[in-house]
Amino acid sequence: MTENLTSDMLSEYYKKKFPLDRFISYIGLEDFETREFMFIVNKNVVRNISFRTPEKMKEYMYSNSVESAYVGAVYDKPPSKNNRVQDIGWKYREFIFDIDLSDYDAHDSEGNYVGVRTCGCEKYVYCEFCWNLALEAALFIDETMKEDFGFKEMKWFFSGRRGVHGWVMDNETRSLTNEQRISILNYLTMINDPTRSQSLEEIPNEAKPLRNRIFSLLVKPYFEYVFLQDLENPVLQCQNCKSKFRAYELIKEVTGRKAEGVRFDTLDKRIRDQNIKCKYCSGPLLNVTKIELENFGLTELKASKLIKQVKGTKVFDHNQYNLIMPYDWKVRRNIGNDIILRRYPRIDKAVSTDIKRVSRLPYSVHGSTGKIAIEIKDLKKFYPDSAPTIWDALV
Amino acid sequence: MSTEVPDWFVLKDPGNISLDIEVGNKYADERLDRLISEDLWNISRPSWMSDDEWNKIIVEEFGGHTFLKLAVSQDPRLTTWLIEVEGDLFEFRFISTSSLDEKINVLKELYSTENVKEIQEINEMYGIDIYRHFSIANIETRSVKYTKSRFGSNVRDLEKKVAIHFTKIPAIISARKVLLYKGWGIVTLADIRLAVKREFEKQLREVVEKSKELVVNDEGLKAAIKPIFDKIQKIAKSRRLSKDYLSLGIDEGVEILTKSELFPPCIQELIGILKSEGHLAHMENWQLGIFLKKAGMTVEEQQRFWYENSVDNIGISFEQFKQRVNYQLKHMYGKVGGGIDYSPPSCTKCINSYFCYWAHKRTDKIIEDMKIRFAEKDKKSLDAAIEDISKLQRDQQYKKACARYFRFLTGWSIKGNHINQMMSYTGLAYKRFYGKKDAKVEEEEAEDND
Ligand SMILES: [Zn+2]
Ligand SMILES: [Zn+2]
Repeated sequence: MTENLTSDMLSEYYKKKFPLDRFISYIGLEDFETREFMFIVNKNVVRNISFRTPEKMKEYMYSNSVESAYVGAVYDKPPSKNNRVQDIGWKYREFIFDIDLSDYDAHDSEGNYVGVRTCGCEKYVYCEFCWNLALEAALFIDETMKEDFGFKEMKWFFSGRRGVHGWVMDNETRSLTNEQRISILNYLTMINDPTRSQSLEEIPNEAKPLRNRIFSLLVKPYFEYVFLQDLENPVLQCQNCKSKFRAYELIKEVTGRKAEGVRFDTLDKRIRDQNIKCKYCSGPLLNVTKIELENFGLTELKASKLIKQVKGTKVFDHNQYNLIMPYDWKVRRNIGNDIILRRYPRIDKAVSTDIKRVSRLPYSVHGSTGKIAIEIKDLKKFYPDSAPTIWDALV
Repeated sequence: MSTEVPDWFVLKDPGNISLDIEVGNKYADERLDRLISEDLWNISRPSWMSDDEWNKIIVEEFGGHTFLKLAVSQDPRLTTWLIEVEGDLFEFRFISTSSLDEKINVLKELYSTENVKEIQEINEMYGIDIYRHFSIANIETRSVKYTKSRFGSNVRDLEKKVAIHFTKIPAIISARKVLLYKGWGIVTLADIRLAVKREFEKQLREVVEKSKELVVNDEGLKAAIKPIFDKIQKIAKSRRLSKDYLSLGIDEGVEILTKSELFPPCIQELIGILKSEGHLAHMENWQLGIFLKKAGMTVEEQQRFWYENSVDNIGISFEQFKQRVNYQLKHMYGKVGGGIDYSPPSCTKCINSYFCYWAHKRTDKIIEDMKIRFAEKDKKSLDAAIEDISKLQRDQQYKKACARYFRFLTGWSIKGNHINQMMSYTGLAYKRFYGKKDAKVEEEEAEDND
């Protein structure tokens, strides 16, 4: 808890501001009595708890000043200390997707960052640049659920920190069996191991809608953000301590001069001439973007041309991709892998398939950030910093 | 166009059929003979046939099938066997029927009507033209591939597309072998053929489960179906071994599972570790599981085997344990996840990512093992074997170490002096210890001149 998020505030929020009716409109009133809730009270986890009425729930929340609140599945009987959810049968649970920016992070065995966020953010930290990953993932899943699986409504909620939760609202999802839930997740998942991915080229021909969606939603951002940024501001890595830097920022910092015109082709020379070293350990620097391009089988010229072509295309689809990509199997496969690895949605499978999981209760307060887990009306316009906090609500 | 479920679909309700036990047994016996001769047959009514004649065929069909179900219902292993052979028969009938309507009606019966649509219906429901919308060709040119199937040229219409609701075909959704539109999986009959067979098998299993109670509560019935039960038991036992083992020259009907001396050292070791420590690493589970599968264990037997030998089971019932391991076992047996019949990993794979006794066990431990296991053997040749094996192990010649071990154990040397695959070890050991006297043996007797 942040210092100034007090139990009085929490109590007041849940008593006066928490939109109970709106929350009930998401989960429905039927079966309310047998639904599990979970709370954090005085830093302790309280599970296996259910309420006769929504008002009783609200009362519990304000009289205990709950620090976090979660909603779980519906069971055969009301969950309680004597009827623990492990021991009773479940009836249904909403079908929920969890997107969290930290799923895009990864570390090697020595603790070095090997994730796909190139902006320098990791863990709780986010910026407008990497938030795009969450946004794209949500849009991708939203469209897949509606177009491919035929569901009619999805609602998106802010997770309170650095992610979003997507709830498929159609009643049919409640009765999905575990096998069916897993099949949907398998259909969607391309990344099982955070350092490796399936290739774009390996998606079966039959799954055309899914492949088309990758082209329409992910390929353009990939070229425009990742590829272009790397080319204009290459990534340098310390050979000694393995820290990664953006060339522009590093040169500016160590030379004290504005690094205008960091040109890809003269960068190596500049590092050599100005004797630029790792700012932490003075180790030698390596232009990893250049190596990556070489691994792709691309020259700098080819890469710039590619970006130009992508930028000049309004609507991107498979045909466009085929037109601009070099007809070189190796290049296509490598870039295909990279697109999936760096842009494809990363979904926490267990959240969607494990019936007994709980999910942050919409409009509850995130105990660490004080932000409210609001419903996001327009994904494209949402950014975590703009989410209301408990302090805003209590003004 | 007929909207009826065809008579060859044995899960169909045949209406009123009554037959006495003796006749039922006779029909079941005939059906059994046909099932094992693998001469899969079709039934369809010729236009000239009278109602009476046709009804007789139907009674034989459903009566025989019903008695087989009753007979196997008492034994899970026999149930599995019947489901497999009836599954093959169903698949044959499904793909070879000349009527597309019949295929669709069977799909509707298996998945229930509201979950199966023709493409035309989808187009009307959503006001689109699926083929044009996704720019896909209506006619695919894949028919050639299927004429080579084991059903010969009887295969029909497999390139035709239908729409099945996604909830009914999870394995296909998982593999993304499907064009999904608004919840409908647009698939060719070829794509879903295996899934349809699995669905049939699943439903047949449920029916057999129900028959179980019928028999349990009726001693008379139990006695009456005894002859059929015995006959199936004999057949099923002789056919348990996987084709892989049969191709290695192991005779039908051999229970490899009771002959642990035929297990390669890696498998013996894995079983030993499992029994003493109660669990294995993930890849090792898979290696052992596939070996046991190929040696004839059914899914049910493996559930039992792992339950009895794991520590994962502490405090949970067998039923709960089954739930936990079911998915992996089903996967292993190709019942989910695309129906692949996994082969056991090669020795190279075992050395690199699974378990190899020679690559992963310390030399001193191996020597200890051998000294205990072969205490009775001639000390001089044991020492020689140990010395050779230690040297091979040090040089990372694991496959050769295995072959040397085999030579010490059996007195036979192996061509090329190395083992490539854990099952071939078993095949060779079988030939050595149980092979027929007159069988031609490829391996030469050991010569101590290398
Ligand atoms: Zn960032
Ligand atoms: Zn450094």
